[in-house]
Amino acid sequence: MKQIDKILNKDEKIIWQGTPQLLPFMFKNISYFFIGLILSIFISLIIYSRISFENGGLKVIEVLDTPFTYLFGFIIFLFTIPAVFYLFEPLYFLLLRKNTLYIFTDKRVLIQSGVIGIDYESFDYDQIRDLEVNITLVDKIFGKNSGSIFIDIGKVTAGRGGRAIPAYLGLEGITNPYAVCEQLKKLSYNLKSDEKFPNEKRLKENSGYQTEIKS
Amino acid sequence: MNEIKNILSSNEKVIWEGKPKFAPYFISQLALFTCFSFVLIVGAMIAAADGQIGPSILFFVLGFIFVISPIISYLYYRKIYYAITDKRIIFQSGIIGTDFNSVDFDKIQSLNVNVGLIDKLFGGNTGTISAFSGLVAYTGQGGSVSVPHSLIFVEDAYGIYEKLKKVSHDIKTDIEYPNDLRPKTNSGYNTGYNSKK
Repeated sequence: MKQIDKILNKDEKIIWQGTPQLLPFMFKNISYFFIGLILSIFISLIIYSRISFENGGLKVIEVLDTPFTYLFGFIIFLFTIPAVFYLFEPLYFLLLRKNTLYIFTDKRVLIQSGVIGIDYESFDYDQIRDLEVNITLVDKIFGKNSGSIFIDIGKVTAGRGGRAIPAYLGLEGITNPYAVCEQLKKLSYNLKSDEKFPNEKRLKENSGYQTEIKS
Repeated sequence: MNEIKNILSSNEKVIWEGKPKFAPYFISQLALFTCFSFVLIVGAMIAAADGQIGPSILFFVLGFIFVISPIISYLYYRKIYYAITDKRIIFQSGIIGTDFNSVDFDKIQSLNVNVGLIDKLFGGNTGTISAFSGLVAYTGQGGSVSVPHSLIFVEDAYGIYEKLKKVSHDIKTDIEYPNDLRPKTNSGYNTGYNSKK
């Protein structure tokens, strides 16, 4: 039994499913990777300048015992943390991709992810407020017709300066994003409208809202 | 003690009820408290050795609060219960009194299930189910972040998640239009717009 089968309802049908492409997903934050790389080279050069190789062994060149030296060492240490984090972030995405799966069913959208355990996020089609398709330089360089769809369902997060900004849910690095977005829009409209009133019972024409209010 | 039945409506049926599994819940609380209390008590000892009695007492008191926090956490645990009814999700909590919180199914924006390291190590098949309903917490700088209602460290997390998804969708759609009156098929929204009429 597949993991996804455990959380699908018995009468729930999968309409579309997709996984992210390897390279666009791994390097989706490539700018951070380069920052990590540059910081790592910078830190390595500083450490390299403080050691020398003598008779096949390492020798640390004497470091001046001044407050400035300690402050500089502390700053270097602070830079090491993001450098390592950014440098190894693609590896994290590689592990994450193994469990990443995007699914549209006849009831909702499901996003499977997780590195340690398998996590799910689901939302009904009537919660979709906004859809965005985003094709980045990474998609152009590494992807084969890849791109990302970002969905706004009303969740918010704190942006710069504490401002509330939409917390988009992303279907990242998927193949043929325009067609998938079109399918998602159509599905969401057809299912959302049917939930309010069955589409099979609707009239063929809508001549506008003309109901008068009686006060 | 589970007191959820006291707040149910007369025709409200409980579909599932449960509470967090003790081991992962307690360890998640303990890990944080132990770290804080260790740091604070070491700080108190250093301050005392340095002859600074004031800061030493302050650190010790704070460290002691963190030491007794697992006891408070246990008292809190005794009151935690969750229920999924045919109308809403109910959360019971509290230490001295009993507090209740509930979310109607039609207010749920998204449902998440998360299985973390503590679940894997100590929980067996536990996980945390979160229901986002548009509830926000305000940040210090005037912003806000979405805050979920969570069923933490519940056993058979995937099974409950599946059940909750189904119940919430069935009830929400029925509120919009009775499900028993719906046709079997949906051929899409095809109504044409003609405002001249």
